[in-house]
Amino acid sequence: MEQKSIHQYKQFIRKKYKVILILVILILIMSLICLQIGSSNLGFIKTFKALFRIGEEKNKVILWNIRIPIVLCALVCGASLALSGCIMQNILQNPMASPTTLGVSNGAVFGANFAIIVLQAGMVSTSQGVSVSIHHPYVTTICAFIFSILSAVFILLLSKKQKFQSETIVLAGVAIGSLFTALTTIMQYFADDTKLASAVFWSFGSLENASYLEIGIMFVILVISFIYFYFNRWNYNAMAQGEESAKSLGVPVERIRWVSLLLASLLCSVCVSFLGIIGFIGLLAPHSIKKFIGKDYRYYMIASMLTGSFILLVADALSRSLMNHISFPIGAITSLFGAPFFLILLFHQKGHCHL
Amino acid sequence: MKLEVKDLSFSYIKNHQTSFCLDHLSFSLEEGNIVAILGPNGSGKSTLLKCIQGIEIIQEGQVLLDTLDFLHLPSEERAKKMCYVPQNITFNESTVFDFVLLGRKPYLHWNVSENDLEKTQSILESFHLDSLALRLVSNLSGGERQRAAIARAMVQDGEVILLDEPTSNLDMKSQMEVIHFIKQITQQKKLVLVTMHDINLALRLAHQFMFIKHGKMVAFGTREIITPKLIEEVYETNVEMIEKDGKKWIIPEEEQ
Repeated sequence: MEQKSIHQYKQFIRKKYKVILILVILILIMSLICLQIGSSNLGFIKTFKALFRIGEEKNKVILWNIRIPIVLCALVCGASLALSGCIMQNILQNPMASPTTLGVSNGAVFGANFAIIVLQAGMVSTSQGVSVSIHHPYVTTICAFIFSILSAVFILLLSKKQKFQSETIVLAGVAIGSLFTALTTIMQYFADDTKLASAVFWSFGSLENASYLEIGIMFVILVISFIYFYFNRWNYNAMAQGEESAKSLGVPVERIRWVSLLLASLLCSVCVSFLGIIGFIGLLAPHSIKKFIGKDYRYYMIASMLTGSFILLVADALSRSLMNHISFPIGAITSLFGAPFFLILLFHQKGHCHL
Repeated sequence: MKLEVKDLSFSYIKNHQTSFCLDHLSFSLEEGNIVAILGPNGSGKSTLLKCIQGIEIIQEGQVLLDTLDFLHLPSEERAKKMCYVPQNITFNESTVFDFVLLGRKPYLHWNVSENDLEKTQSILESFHLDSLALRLVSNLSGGERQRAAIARAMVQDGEVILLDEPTSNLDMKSQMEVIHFIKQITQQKKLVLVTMHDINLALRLAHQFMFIKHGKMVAFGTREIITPKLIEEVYETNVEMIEKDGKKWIIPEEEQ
């Protein structure tokens, strides 16, 4: 006898839990691998010893002061950027929506450049050869944050005026992004070499920039946003069926869009301002996991976050192991490997391109 | 159950001038009826449905459900009493089961209950969608999609069901299927308001007919009110009416 749809559906839901479990296991394995990688080859046993605070003092310092923050940072930042993209795509009803396409990231780059070049927040210290550092990281961070939030607010105001026509908003986001990029270029053109170097260095994006405090701040914002998003998961499901459907099901569409867009922008602008540009996660993570988990926001949001964390861990592993003693800029790695993967994903979709 | 619309007006301001989409409409409808709302493109049919459900905010008038001031209820309460199936639903990548289950949205607290799932299951069965339960709605045919949309409204369990052009863009077989399911709904003492373009299809389906033009009601009543003169007045085109076996058929005449 054929099974009733209710049983099939329950099995179908159980599969989603399996996908989430697999993602968690993958993340755990990848985190352990990432803890191994580094210029001082610790090896598994020494890493484990240091993890439980036994063994050589040097190893403990390396692990707890350098590697664990990087791994935690990858977990939190990957999840934040992926969640931010996932929510933006829902509320704007546009598969292209992400922190990068809405101009939030470009705003942050402009802010950081402004801080480094005009406010003299960054300097190149030439004493140790070519190392570049930013002397007043918080000035840079705050400026990056202010300008990314500015783009977000602009997008929000526009969406209110235009009654949330998603195409207009994404186009406006692209325009605002280009405007900030142009301003950044002009500023960089007139900057002297040393400032230019530190500005460019900042925009590479790096997980090594974050301290425990900053990771903590990102984590708190991630948790708060996630709680709000998770409470509204049924509303997002309804909104995916179109605005009128959602309204007729009793969803307060306008309010949810405003708060969601604000929180999503906040999530990504905090990450970008602490770490620099790490692009593409907001698009890559939700779109690549969609095939396995479906677009039920009860599970889709969680799976997107986990995928984001996983991608960033892999990118971190690649960036630190491709060449000895050199870590590639992680922002470049995510796009370098993410973009071809994304294209493969697009070509493998059957029939129409349903993003 | 009785749905009463009193003096309903909906307008928007364009170039400092108020233009009426719906101009002081009043009517009263009873349960167990299918009411076809007819009129030319842009006459305000769809807007009327949206105003009755409260999706568009009206400037004047009242909607009474029995004696309840419907439009002043919170949106979730409204959703429990009146279901609306818009013309432009996004048939996204959710499964048919998920899509129909969402009709329980106004009743959900933290998660779906066993009752919600069972209700969805039984509606899927009666709409012959059971075998498609785990297919994506984006992969369904037009007729199946419309059936899923009406099934969602049934799961929502309201007393009034508003359908915006459920038969447009469907082939003949699917149109008749949809008509069959809409008729099935009224057996459960529900009131169905449906906007339509095809008068002949409306004649096969509805008990009552409402003609709207430029936001004003032109005529309202049973089959008897439909005459070539009325149709010509509303649609501004010449028609011929044929009566065969007690059924009316409206055929447009070619312009000379």
